[in-house]
Amino acid sequence: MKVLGRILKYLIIFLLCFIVLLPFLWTLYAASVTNDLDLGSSLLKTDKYGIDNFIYILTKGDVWIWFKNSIFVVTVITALNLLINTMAGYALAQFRFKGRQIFFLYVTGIMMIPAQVLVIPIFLVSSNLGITNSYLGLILPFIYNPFGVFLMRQYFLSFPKEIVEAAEIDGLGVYSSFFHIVLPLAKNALMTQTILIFVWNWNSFMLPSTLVNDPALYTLPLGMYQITNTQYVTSVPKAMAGAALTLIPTIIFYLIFQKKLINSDMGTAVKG
Amino acid sequence: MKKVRKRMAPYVFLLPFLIASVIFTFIPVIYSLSISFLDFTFLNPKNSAFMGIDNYKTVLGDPLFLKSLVNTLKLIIVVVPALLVISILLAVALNAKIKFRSFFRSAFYLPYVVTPVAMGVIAVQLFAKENFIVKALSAIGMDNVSWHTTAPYAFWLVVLVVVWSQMGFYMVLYLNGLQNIPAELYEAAMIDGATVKRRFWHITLPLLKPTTVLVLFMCLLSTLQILDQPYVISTTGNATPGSPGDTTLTMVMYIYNLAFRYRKMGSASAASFIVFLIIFVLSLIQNMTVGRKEE
Amino acid sequence: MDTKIKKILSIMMAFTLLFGLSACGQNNNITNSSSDTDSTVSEIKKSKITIAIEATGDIPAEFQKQIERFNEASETAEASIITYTGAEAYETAIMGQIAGETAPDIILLDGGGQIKEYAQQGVIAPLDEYLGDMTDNFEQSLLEGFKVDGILYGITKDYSTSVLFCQTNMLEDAGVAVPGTIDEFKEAAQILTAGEVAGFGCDPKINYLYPFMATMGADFIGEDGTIDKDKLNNDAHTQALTLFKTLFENNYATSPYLANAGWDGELFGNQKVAMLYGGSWITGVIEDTSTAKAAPLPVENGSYSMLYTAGWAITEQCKDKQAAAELIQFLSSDEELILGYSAGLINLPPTTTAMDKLIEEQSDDSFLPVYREVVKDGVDYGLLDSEFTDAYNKALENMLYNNVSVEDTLAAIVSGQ
Repeated sequence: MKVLGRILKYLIIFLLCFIVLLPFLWTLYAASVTNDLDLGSSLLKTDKYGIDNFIYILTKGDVWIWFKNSIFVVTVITALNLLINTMAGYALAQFRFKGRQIFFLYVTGIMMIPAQVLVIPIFLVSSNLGITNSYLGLILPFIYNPFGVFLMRQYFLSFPKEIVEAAEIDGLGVYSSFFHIVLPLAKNALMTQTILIFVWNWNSFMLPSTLVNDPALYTLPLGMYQITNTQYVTSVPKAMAGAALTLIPTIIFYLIFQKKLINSDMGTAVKG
Repeated sequence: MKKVRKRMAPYVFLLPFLIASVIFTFIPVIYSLSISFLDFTFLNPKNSAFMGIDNYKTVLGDPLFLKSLVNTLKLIIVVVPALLVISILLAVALNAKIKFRSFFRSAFYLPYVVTPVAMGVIAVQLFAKENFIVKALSAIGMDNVSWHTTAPYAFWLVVLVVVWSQMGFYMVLYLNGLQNIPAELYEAAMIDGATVKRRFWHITLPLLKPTTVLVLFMCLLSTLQILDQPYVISTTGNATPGSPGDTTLTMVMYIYNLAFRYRKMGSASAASFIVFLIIFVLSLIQNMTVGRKEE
Repeated sequence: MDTKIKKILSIMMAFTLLFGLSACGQNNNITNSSSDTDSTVSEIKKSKITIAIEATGDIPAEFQKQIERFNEASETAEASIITYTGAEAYETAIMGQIAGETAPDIILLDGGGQIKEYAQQGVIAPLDEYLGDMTDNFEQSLLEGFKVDGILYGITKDYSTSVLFCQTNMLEDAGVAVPGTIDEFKEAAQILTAGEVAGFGCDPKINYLYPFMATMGADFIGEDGTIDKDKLNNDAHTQALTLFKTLFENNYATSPYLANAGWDGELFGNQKVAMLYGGSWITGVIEDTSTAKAAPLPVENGSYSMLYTAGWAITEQCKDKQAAAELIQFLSSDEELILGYSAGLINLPPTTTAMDKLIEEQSDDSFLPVYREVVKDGVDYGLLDSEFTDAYNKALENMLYNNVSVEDTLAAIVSGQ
């Protein structure tokens, strides 16, 4: 009986998974439809399938340059975000200082402004700084993220002060205790932040498309749009092939990092 | 010397964020704010007449804006609690040492990285007229119609898609939160004979409170600013955004139309600040009531 | 654990440094290649012109070829292109550049409202003194959208128009001729509806239905895009709206929304409709062009069609407008227009001379002569205000999908003004 219950449990979870995966499965289905017009026709029409669209995406244009750009830009952005956001979150959580409330209000305030109207002003700022149409333009406006700060602050609020105090007794200064003691223990929160920031920036389209016009600087989303759209029509199958391929790095990234989401056993660190 | 260092430390830690955000967010915000008081066009910035709060009055008096406000509020009332509950349950379920755990975690996370277009198409297809879900539901009294074309149903389709695509994100946050609960607590509870339910209510939930605060806040903010999913669903089959009949128009969709379809930058900026104030007030309210969540 | 993180971080740093160096190197290469060609230049200094377009697919590469042909041919000017991906990105970036005073020399603008706005704000230059007599062989209706208060501000680059597409075999089988009048059209839609196929299909938006409204007496789009209220709120308009409501109610007509298609072209390509009134770009989905016929709008009171135009404008910030004009002249020459048509750079050539040559060349293309015929009665879609358009389209949707009456729909349209 217990075995039956177990099998049932797994069956239900698999069913749920299937439902949840439907959009992804549809993406793959659409990507394998060779003729755009066949998209709505019966699933059983076997002669409409093929890997033409995938081949198109992989060989058309400068896909590999765009891929390289995305990897470079998003990696740098993520690394800088980790540093900048975590430091800010740590300060807001673990220190008592004048202006703490104001800073916190500022950080949360930034999150509440709809970004759409800021596109052109950000473009203007970037243009004045002379960073449009360059890697700097693709990176600098994105190196901070108030959600990341909020995430880290939330984590650091329950971070035991005793650890830092113990480190200071051992003679470590504020900065070295942050980098050598606190950060390593915050691994899980850092991993989580990494996953989120990476995905956000990997799929970012609107701002990068205005900041950069040289096709050699395009990131993957820009390039994909370029080769799957014509003036009046989007080729959905090609776009889905592009989307499916663009997905892959984020999934790999997630798989690697979510494995690290294990119990960090901080209890012993405090007791000892 | 060390004392001074220590006192300066928080400011030093905050400095990079401050510099970057002032340059790339704060200054654009001030720019946008000033536009909202002008009859502004980027084509001729210097030639903008001062309009006082006229843009604000126009937006507040626009029935479309009010409709979008109501729609968005309806959305958060449904979506936020739903996401909270679902993501906690998912995280707890996928934290246990079950087989294929990585696969399941990835499966539920996948909708988050899939393009909104794919989500939209699938949702529309699943709930289209004559498809088996709709047929099954009509047996218990619902109409046999395509959800995305019919008034009250289109809204619920949007709810579905928003929850579906966001749950993976919050699941990750909760998984993170769960890792910080020491295993010994569960062990001790099990020795004491506590059931799964009791362990959940008395250990897991309370210790997840910081994560819940985070999730509630982020969910509230991002749902209030939602654009992609309702946009994709309402423009299926090339319909105007917000269809049917503006029931899926959200506040940011309204702003987007103003800014990118009608190029009315002054009004769009004004609308953005009105939305900002709304979000600010709502998050204050949420902040004050969350303190009650003691379980 | 601590060292592992350090390792990962340092690998990431090394990685990014490596890419950074190679990327910077590549950045320099991009700018270097264009200055290499300068080394063989003559003593006369060529004016540098930048031209910005919105481009996807193969267009950037093909356009680059076209520009290179110009650079070789010209003695006084040298052009380079800037391309943006997607219309939104293009418009946003151009606006930002204009505001920041770094605008390109030549930009691509839509005819109608956009050109008008840019002209009124003093962003672009009047073109008569540079291109006066060049416009003689242009289709005059195409230039209308680029005139503001009678002054020419843009040169049409290309256009698309709208026609009635018919599935040849479906009409033959039913013994129906291509409709020439509105009454014939009504009948044909009814007869051709059979089984899964609807007689008529369209995307019910003002830009496809306006010609019908206009020929039935509700020609409310005025000269410069202003809406003629009397013609908007009259019986003719009511009749025209009723026509479509009836067609849809009886299932003689369908739309992408109802038939679960992505766009109207899909309806025609998948043979879900016998006739379709839509944009000339639909020919992209017609695999075998012998199976379809194009015809002008069925008429009642005068012929109409819609025009979708884009044109070149010279920005006021341009330092050598004469050189810019030279480039525009080059791009508008018959040879370049025809080459551009084949390369997918332009939709339909805007000059009568180029169009005639094209029709001669592509003698088996039956659609081109129809376009040539309908272009002179065209109304530039860009003239319509986008808020009015959205309100009109919404009202149409409510009428056709949500059971709103014709009277209420007309009231909504009029009040949305």
